[in-house]
Amino acid sequence: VPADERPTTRQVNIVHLAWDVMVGSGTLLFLLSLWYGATWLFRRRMPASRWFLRAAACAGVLAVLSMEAGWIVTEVGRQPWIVYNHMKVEDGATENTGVWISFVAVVVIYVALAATTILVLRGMSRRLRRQDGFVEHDAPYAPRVAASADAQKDALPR
Amino acid sequence: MSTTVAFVLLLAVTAYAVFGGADFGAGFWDLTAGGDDRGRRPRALIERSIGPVWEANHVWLIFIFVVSWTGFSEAYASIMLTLFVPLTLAALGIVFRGASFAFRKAVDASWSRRVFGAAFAASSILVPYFMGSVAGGIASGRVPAGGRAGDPVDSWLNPTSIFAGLLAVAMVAYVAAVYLVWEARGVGERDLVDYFRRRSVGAAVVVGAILGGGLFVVRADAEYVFDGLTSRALPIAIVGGLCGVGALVLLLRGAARGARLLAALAVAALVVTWGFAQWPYLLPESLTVSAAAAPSGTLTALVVAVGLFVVLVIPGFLLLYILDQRRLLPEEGVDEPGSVA
Repeated sequence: VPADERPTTRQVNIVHLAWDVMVGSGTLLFLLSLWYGATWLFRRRMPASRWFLRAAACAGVLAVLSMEAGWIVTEVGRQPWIVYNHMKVEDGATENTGVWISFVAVVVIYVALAATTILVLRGMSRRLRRQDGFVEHDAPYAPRVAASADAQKDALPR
Repeated sequence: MSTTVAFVLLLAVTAYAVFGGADFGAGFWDLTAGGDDRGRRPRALIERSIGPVWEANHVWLIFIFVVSWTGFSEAYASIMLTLFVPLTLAALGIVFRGASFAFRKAVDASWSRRVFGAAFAASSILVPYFMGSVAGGIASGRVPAGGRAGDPVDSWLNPTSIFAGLLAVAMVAYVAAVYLVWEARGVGERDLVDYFRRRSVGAAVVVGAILGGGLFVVRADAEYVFDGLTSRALPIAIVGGLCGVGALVLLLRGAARGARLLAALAVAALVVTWGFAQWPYLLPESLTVSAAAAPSGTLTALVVAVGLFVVLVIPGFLLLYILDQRRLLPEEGVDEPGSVA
């Protein structure tokens, strides 16, 4: 492979690390589901141990981490090509000025949306705790409780 | 083959205008519904009617992008490089709209409902405006061929773009109002039927006025398209006009179902008229459809993919629309986690 078609050493290291993170966290998540599956198979209930609940709480973060690592593997791993053997990333990039403005705008907006999401979710959980339960018209994204499931089934074909 | 793909593209744009347009237009009526008390019932109707299908309609937009970059890569590059400002603003508007629509349902303090409601409604207007201005920039020949960037400002701040943007806003408001007449009748709210009927007639008059004034703008600013309007595209324009007038008559006589169909046809005819008016150009007077087309192998693959889309996706869409029309769908967010795209 000619020198200018090779990824840099740093890129190779990033891909290697991201790959390890992706596969490692994926394996941990798989073991967690095996734990659940085994308990369900032998005892017909979900695992009750504190460590399982702790691990399950971490699993959400780990899943996102694993997904992001996967993206890093594909996107850094493709360097320097954007279309393999046809076009390099530097030739494919736009020549428009002002890309930074769009980039900053997108980052700012998504940070604001993320903050709003957290605030809205906290507000919902506060309201649910205060009301000590589920009120359909008040919190549309709230988890269902068994009691209201029948009521909803009746309410559907309006 | 390239003609087939161009026609598919035009149909997809039409579908987005008719189905997606109704969603955006509902946001317009949400914005203009007045204060908290006065606007409560219209807003509730709007929320109920667009809730179940509100993000599905963006499938059309994605389809349009995929077909244009696969089938007409050069034109796609030119359009994106030239019109990135209105396209970026429209994309941000879509994000804001979806997010604030979902947030509004999840908060209960009236001030935060108001903030999210305003963000939802304002972005519902900005998105069709910018989409329209993109169409205007293309129609008036301001996008150069060859995958090059045109003027980043003049390409969307020009007479034809402003006309097309305003027309798009008026048009989606009109379609949405006609649909909402039907929705209001479906849930048996007589006064809201009248409420939206008055507004749909008003919007129809505004659309007509903008179209009338726009003809002069187009004649001065987009000559090729104007020539097409008075020749190639004239039959479709006449059919569209008749549908529009027919919808107006049916609205005034209270036949909501027929009015809805004719209004949708009128809007569809308007989009198709634009497509025929600039035929055979994809970018008027610099790039024809056949010159812009990808190699035949790519086009064949694309046509096969479109065939699969018709077989696999359209039935799903039809089911969604039918269930929605028969009110068999659960309220948004109760049964399924909301998707903030």
